This record gives sequence, C-alpha cells and structure tokens, in this order.
Amino acid sequence: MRANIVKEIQSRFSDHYDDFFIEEELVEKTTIFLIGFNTLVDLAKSKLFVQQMADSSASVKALFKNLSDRINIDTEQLIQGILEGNLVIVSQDGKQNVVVDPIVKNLRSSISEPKNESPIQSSTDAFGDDINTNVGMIRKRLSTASLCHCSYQVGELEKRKISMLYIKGRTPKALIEKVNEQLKGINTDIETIDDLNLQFGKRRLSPVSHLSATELPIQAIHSLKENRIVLFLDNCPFALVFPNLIWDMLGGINDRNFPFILSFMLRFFRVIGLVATLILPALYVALVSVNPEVFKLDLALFVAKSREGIPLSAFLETIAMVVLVDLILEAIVRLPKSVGPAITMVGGIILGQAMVEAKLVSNLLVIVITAVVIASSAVIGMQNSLYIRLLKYPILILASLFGILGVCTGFIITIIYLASLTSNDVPYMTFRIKQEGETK
Amino acid sequence: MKNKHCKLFIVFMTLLFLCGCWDIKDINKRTIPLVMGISKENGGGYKVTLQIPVLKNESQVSRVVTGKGETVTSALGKIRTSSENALDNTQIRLIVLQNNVAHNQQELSGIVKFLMGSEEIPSRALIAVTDENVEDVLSSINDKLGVHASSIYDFFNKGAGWAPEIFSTPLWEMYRSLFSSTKDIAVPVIRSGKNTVLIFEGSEIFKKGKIIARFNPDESQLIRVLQNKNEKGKIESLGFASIMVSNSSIQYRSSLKNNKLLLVSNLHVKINVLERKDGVTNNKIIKELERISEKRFYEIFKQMKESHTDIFGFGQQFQQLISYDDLKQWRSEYYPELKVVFEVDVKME
Amino acid sequence: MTQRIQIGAVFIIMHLSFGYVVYPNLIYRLTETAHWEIILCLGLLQLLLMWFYIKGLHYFPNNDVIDIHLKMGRWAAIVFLIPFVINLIALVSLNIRIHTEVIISIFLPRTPYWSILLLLFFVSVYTALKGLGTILRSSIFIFLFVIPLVLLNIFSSAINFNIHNVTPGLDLPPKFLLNMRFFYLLGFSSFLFLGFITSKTKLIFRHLFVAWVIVTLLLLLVVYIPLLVFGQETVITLTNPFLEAMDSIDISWFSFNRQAIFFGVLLVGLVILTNSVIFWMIGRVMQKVFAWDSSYWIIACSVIAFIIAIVVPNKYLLEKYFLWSSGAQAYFMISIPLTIFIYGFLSNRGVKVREK
Repeated sequence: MRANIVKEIQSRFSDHYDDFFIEEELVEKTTIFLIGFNTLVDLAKSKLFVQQMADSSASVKALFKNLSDRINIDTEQLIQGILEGNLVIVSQDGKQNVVVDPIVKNLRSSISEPKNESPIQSSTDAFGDDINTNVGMIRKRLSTASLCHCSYQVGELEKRKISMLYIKGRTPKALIEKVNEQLKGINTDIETIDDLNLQFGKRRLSPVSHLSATELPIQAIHSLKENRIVLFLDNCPFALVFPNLIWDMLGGINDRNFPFILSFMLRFFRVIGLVATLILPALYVALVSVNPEVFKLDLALFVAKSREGIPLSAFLETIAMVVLVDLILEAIVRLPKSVGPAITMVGGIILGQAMVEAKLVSNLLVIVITAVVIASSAVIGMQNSLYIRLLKYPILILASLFGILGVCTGFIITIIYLASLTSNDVPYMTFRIKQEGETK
Repeated sequence: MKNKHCKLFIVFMTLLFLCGCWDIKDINKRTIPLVMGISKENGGGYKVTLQIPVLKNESQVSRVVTGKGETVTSALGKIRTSSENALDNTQIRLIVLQNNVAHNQQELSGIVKFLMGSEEIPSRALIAVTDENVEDVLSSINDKLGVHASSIYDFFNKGAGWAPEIFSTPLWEMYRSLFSSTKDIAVPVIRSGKNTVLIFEGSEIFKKGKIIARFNPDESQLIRVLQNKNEKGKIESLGFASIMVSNSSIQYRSSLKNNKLLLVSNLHVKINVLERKDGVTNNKIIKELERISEKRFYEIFKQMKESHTDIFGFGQQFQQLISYDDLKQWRSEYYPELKVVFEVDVKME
Repeated sequence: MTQRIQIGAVFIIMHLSFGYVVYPNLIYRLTETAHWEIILCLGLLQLLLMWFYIKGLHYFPNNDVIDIHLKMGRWAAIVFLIPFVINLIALVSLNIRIHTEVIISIFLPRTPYWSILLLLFFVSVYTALKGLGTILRSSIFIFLFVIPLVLLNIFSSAINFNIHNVTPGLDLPPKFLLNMRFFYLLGFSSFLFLGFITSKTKLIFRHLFVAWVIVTLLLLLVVYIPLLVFGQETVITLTNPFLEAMDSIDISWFSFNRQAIFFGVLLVGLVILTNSVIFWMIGRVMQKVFAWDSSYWIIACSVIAFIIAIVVPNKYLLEKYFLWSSGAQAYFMISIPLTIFIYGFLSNRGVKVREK
C-alpha cells in the first residue's frame, strides 16, 4: 500500500528510532504521509497546520506547493531533512514529497543574560544556542549591506552548521579566502571550539587559541568593525572571533562606555594584572632564595623573619601554593552554586590561615598568591585568564634556577613566544588588522 | 621541521634544568651581616668583625662574630667556614675601621680597593673610623633597650634636616678620593655611647688614604656646607642667642689672572632665631654669625693649606681653567697659591 | 609605519647592547678630556656610512644586501659575505660571553658562566629561528620594557652626579682619530642589519636619523654617567664603570636596594635581541649563498659560537679578541656600504646609458 519511497525511509529508521513516526493523514480524499521525529516536531500542531493549509488548497499538488519550496526532492535529501528536524510529507503514490518547516517543539532557551562575562553599563543580551538567532542578533545591531554571511555544513558523523560573518571591503580579502578554504576543507567532526581552532593551523601544544570567544553581540560587532571575521557554530552560544589578538584580553568595547581616561585606567590595570600574574610568584622565589640582596635592609630582615622556621624551600612552597590555588579556582567553577561559597571559605581562608599558623608557608607568600589570583582575573575572557595562569609556571621554574635573571629571561621568552604566534599570517601581537585597500 | 624544533627545545630545557643551582639559598638560611669592622692585630694580621642580626631571639638583637687572618679576605674566609649558615655579605651597610688600620695609608688604600672590587660587598656601604676597639662598638648595641639590629646603620641615615651634624661617606667616595687629585675626603668618627648606640665625634680628613687631621663636629659641618650640601636644621649657639639654619647655599666664582688663582665664595644662610637675650638686635646676631663662620673657615683653610689637603674640593672649581694634566699637580703647585675670599651673607627669615 | 618603528627599536637596542659594556672603557682609555668629541665623531662617521649604505640599497629596490652581492656574482657573495659571517659568529660569541661576565657579577656570583651562556644562547637561537617577524614584533615589547629601566638608571644616578668631575672643554687637535682604538669603537655600531631587511620594507633615511639621534644621546649618557659620578681618574681604574656607577646609588625611600639589578635586567633584554638579530643575519646569508634551510645554519653556527664562547679562558683575552672582532666589524662596516654604493651607482649609470 505504501509507496516505495516511504518504505525506504522507514527501513532506514526501523530499529532504535523510537521517536520516529509515520502518520497517515487523509487530505482531499488522498492519503499523505507525515514523517519526522516527534522529539523535534510538535505533531499535533503540525497536523492542524497541514489540515488548515489543505482546506485552502485545491489539490494535493497545490497544497505541497503552498507548504514549502523544497518539493519533489530525492530520498537522501528527505532523510537529511528529517534529521534536521523538519517534517517530511509524502503523497500516497510517493511521487510527490515536500520538506516542511514544522511547528517545532521549543528546545531552545530564549535570549538571556551572559553567563561567562559581566558587562558593565552595556546591553545585557547574550548569544544563545540557535545559530540563526545569533546571526540575526548581529544583523539587527549592524544593519548594513556590506555585512556578509557565508554558511557551511561540515563534519563526518554529523553535519554541523558554521556561519562566517565579515564586513565586505574591510576585512582583508586574502584572510577571508583563506578562512573560507579552511572551513570548506574540514573533514572531521567539529565537536568543540578547539576542534574548530585546530583547523586554522597547528597549535596543538599552544595555550593560545586562534579564536577568541565572546558572548556579547556588541563585542562581536566591534570585532567585525575592526576588520576581523566572526564565526558561529550552531548550538554554541559564543561568537568566535578570528583571529585572536592579545588586545582582546586587555581591552573590550565595554570599556569605551566610560570616558577615555577611565577606560585607559581599566586597560592599564589589566596590563598590570597580566604582568603580575606572570612574574609575581617567580619574583617571590627569585628574591627570597636567589637574589635577596635586592631587598632593602629592613625588608630583607622582615622577609627573613617571616620565613624563619619554614621547612619547605621557597620554590617548593610557592609551587605548592600556586597549584593549590589553581585547584581551588577550578573546583569552585565545577561546584554547584550553592556549595561554591562554602568551598571558597574552606579553601581560601581556613586553609591559608592554617598553613601560615602551622608555619608551612610564609605569610608573605600567602599575600603574594592572593595578589596573583586577583590579578589573573583582571584580564578579559576566561580562556585568556587560564592561559596566562599556565604561562606563569615556566617563568617560576626558570626563576627558581636563575633568580632575577631567570624571571627576566622567562618574561622575555614569553614575549618572544607570543610574538611568534600568527594565525593565517596575522600576528597575535598586532594591535589592529589593516583595512583592505588601506595604504600604509 | 616543527617537530625537530620541539625536540631541540626539550633537549635544551633538560640541559637548563641540569645547570643553575649554585646561588640558590633561601634567605632564612643565610647569615646576613649588617656591619663589618676591620682592625689590626698586634701580630700583624687583620681581625674582621661582623655584626649579625639575630632573628629568632627576642631579647638579643644581634651577635658579633670575629675572624682573624693574614688578609681581610682570609679573615672573612675563616668566618665563612665557621658560620652556621651561608654567609651573605651583600647587605653590609657600614664598614667601621679601627684607628690602627686607618692610620696606615698603604693598608687602608689596599683595604678600600679590595672592598670596592669585591662583588659581594656593596660600594654603597658607609665608612666610619673609630678609636675604640671595633668589637666593643659593634657589640654595644646589645645592652641598649629598644634598638633594632639595623640601628647602627640607621644612625647615619636619619635624613636631611633631622640631624644635620651627622654625615656619611660611602665606600665609593672613599675609593674615588684615592685617585682624585683635586678633592679630599672626610670620614666620620664614631664611638660607642653609654645610652645610645653610637656617638658622633667629628671627622677624619683623608688625603689619598692618609689621615691628615681630625675635626670636631662643628668644623666638619662647615666642610659640608662648603661642599654645597644643604645644612637645614643646624642649631648654632652664639652665647647671647641661639639660631637655627633653615637654608644654606654656596656659590663659587673661580678666576685665573696673571697666574694668580682666586676663588670667591659666597655663602648664603637663612636663619631662624630660636631664643635670644634681652636687647640683642637682629643685626648683632647676623654680624656675630658671619664673624664666627668666616673665622672658622679661615682657620681650617690655613691648616689645610699647610698640609696640602684640599678638603673643600676647591680644585674642582678650576676644571675649566687649568688643563687636565696640570690639575694633577693641583695639591703641590696650585693649591698653596690659591687665594680664597669667603663671604657669608646671613639673612633672617 | 609600525614596521619602521620596529626597525628603529631594533636599531636602538642593538647599539645600546654594544654600547653599555666595553664601549665606555675604550673611550676612557682613548682620551682624558672631552669625551663627547669622540662619541660625536663616531656618530657622524656612522651616519655617513649609513647614508652611503641606504643610498646604495635604494638603487636596488626589493633586494637585500645578499641579493645585491649575488647579482655581482656568486664569487663576490662568497668573498664578501663569508668572512663577514665568520666575523659575526666570533662577534656573537664574544658579545654573549662579555655580557655573561657582567650578568654574573650582578646576579649570580657563584654560578659558572657556561650555564648562563647556555640560557642566553638558547633564547637567542630560539628567537632567530622564529624569523624576522618575531624579532621585530618582540623588539617593540622589549623596547618598552628596557627604555623605562634605562631612564630609571639615568635619573636615579643623578643624585650622585658632580658636575665638576668632568672637563667639558674642547680637545684640539683630535689626536684620537689616528688611534687604532677609534676604529675598534666604530665596530660597535651595528647598522649593517638594515641591509638585510630591505627586501620587504623600504628604508627611509629620515626615520633612521631620528633613531641615530636617540642612540647618540644615550651613548653620551652611558659614557658620562660614570664620569659624572667618579671622575676620569677613578673611572679608568674600574673594570665596569657603568655597573659601579649604578651600584653607588642609594635611594632611601626606594624599597629595592640595588639599582644595578635593573641594569642587569635591561642588559639581558638587549643581549638576547641583539644576538638573535645577528644569528638571523647569519642564517639568512648562508641560506641565500648556499642552499640549505636557514634554521640548520643558525643551529650549526650557534653551536660553533657557543664553543668559542666557552673556550675563551679569561677576561683579558676575551676583551682582546672582542676588540679584534669589532675591528674586523669596522672593516665590514666601511667596505660593505661602499661596495654596494659604488656597484649601485655604476650599474645605475649603466642602465641610464643603455636607455639613451
């Protein structure tokens, strides 16, 4: 009774697809088949919708035409349509079919406030899971004809949607073409942001990503205006700005809501935070165990007194404390919100206090470590904060070997390393990307 | 290629870890002496005394360690060997020379050159001379109440305006004076006090490492004034009034005419009158102060001229007028011929 | 514009790196009065050579020094550039070694020099392997981190100044021009790297002139700070006058004791960048003249340089060899710009004659 095409589809989804449905429906005295996943399609409402449409259509053919543009396509595309969550309607003889945008079950949360960033004095909309909503949010805020949008479907197991946005005439053409090629050439599954990151060139061992993620539409728009490319991955509530630049961690567009001098101050403090995170623990080790002659007399005696009777060497106590603090930071993120503060109490206050009282670490070190934790959070973006926390370890080790010399070579190596990073020939340590066609 | 860089990187990193362990010593595992005393033994060897702060004990602030040897280095080496912790001389802030060392020109300049050349001992360390036994001076800190380990150094470091009489001479200035042909140097003299840690006794004048004269605090102060160091806060008693100097400055005008050297120096002093006897006018105070200062200057200058010692650094003023090679003979040829007109100009605030 | 600033930064950094250590000592030995005369004479001579060099390079747009030599013929490149490379290897090794001695005396008096040599070599080679772009980009950041320290050193040392320690007068006739040491001093200038980056950027003499003015001012300060603190008589008795001048500073409100530490930190920054530029130049020449990849050459040459730096037994010989190699450098400094200028001039005229 059923047409071949329906059978074929049915055979594909026969086992282990319990949410798959094929419903028969009588329209204009002919039977049509509604096919789809009832987890994605609201069947009852969709049926009603089709009935209403049928009432105003003369024939099945006309009905199909009214429902959608994608009519009479081959089986593979139909299956793809089903997987994407559409409703497929096939006529009784199987000769006519259509892929309809159904009335969907609402699986998305609506536009909400940003979870990972906290903008001050700015719009509090954040990107959501739906790629079209995200692109729409950009379009709505940046209504210009030169905003271009290319979309890709890549992946092996599943096809994931990726959108690329840029401003025509601003973003360098060479950059766009290269990114376009790289995105087209993806043949592995893109599951995480890092999977996408690896497509832009080898940086497996590098802590610095090619992409900088932001939740805020205004930040994404600002990046576009700065001649950069914004990528969206479906089901990922972030705009991924390509390429990632060091300036992203120091200055956001939100700072500019304040007068210039205030935003300058904010950025200056972030630079201090960045430098302090990198060198403060190392400086402690260097000054205490290798180059104490740098201290003024009174300070030297004070430090020596505060370390009196501590069994651990300066390097050991520092590395222990630094690791411990990084553990606490990680633990707080993982814990449910109700338990978090309690752990902070235990970790931060009680543990620190106990360690000092037990004379396991010097109280000066506790002050230094606290300063580092606070400083490392001053930069913008969680991933940036994480990577500078990582970069402090090599400097710490060099400092424990060579003292101040180690701190400063470590710092210089870090600078050189960061300066050597490029993504598609755009260096990480550049302050802006040249506009296309702009002369020097 | 990338992979090879990676391997090279790893090899170098492991090599780096293998090296570099020589200077690592936690600050609390170091012995940090603050004051070094050098004296001569009867037998001819040196005795080096170090004052080391004690951190653990509340009742005692510091202890004194001595070592003897043929040279200062070997004496230091002995202390290094017998010390419980690693000896770190980088915080030495004061070097006290006993007079038996200070009076020997050759030995003194040898010691100064050694101290300057040493990488550990900072050239900022101050120098002082004492007539007492160095060990007694350094250990006198322990029976005083309410002092820190660093009190001996703090004595010299009160700051401008707080104690204008006291001055300090760093090691590098002493070293410079060994070679300078136009300027000699004054080094403070101290001794241990009864209630306070140290007492300031004046200054010794060194010419190329040789002691020429000793001045009392008042005279040493005049020297400082003439070297254009501001002497704010100095209190002077004139018998019928006492005044405080609130500002001082000096100007030199040097000239060389017909092979005659003339230096005109104008000292401008601003004073506050603190107390005065009845009927004493401002004018009288000014006159008396000018008279005293000028008298004091000409006395010192005469004495210095006799010993060919240019403690005021007048030769420096003639850098422009006399060629570099001729200036080398400044002390013997030009200085005795120098005529100085010293004028004091006192103003009341 | 950015690249011009970067080149200027590299120019200043390289000159300072060579200027801080042996340069003042040589000047004190050359003359007893009027030190500024020598510095200015050197500067003007350098400016003249630079002018020839840039003029010569402008005859060949989008070509660097090696390309121009290759144009003359492969043999010309080998004859002119290979001795240059050999001298660069010697220069780099001795330069690092001299800096290491200073760094050791500032930071780590008990550490053997080879471990610090290893560290410095490692960082410079790593930078050189990353290429010119990295060097130029990091130069800006190192510049930003070094210059405040230079200024801090200069201003804080002002408390120990005594203007009467120096004789400002003019010293005529300039006898030092005939002294061999004067030509050693010329070798301390390091503008030859400019010719290696012209394949991408066109150099403008005006911009370099600004950098030259800054360099000359800084060198004047480097020479005059120890003089103002100690005076000529004392300065010649010191092994590292600038270091001692820094060490004499005692600022009571400052919570750090040794100004010399800052001097050491800035020296490290300078020496790393300077040597990575030299390594990069070596790699570049060898890659263009012979076939191999430049990174192999850089690694091979750095190993040779490292061995040279390790086997030099003492400070006296070190300084002597360093002077020899900087004297040779002075020779290249004169010969390369003039060769390029003359060759460029002749071939340019040839082109014009043919066009007619």
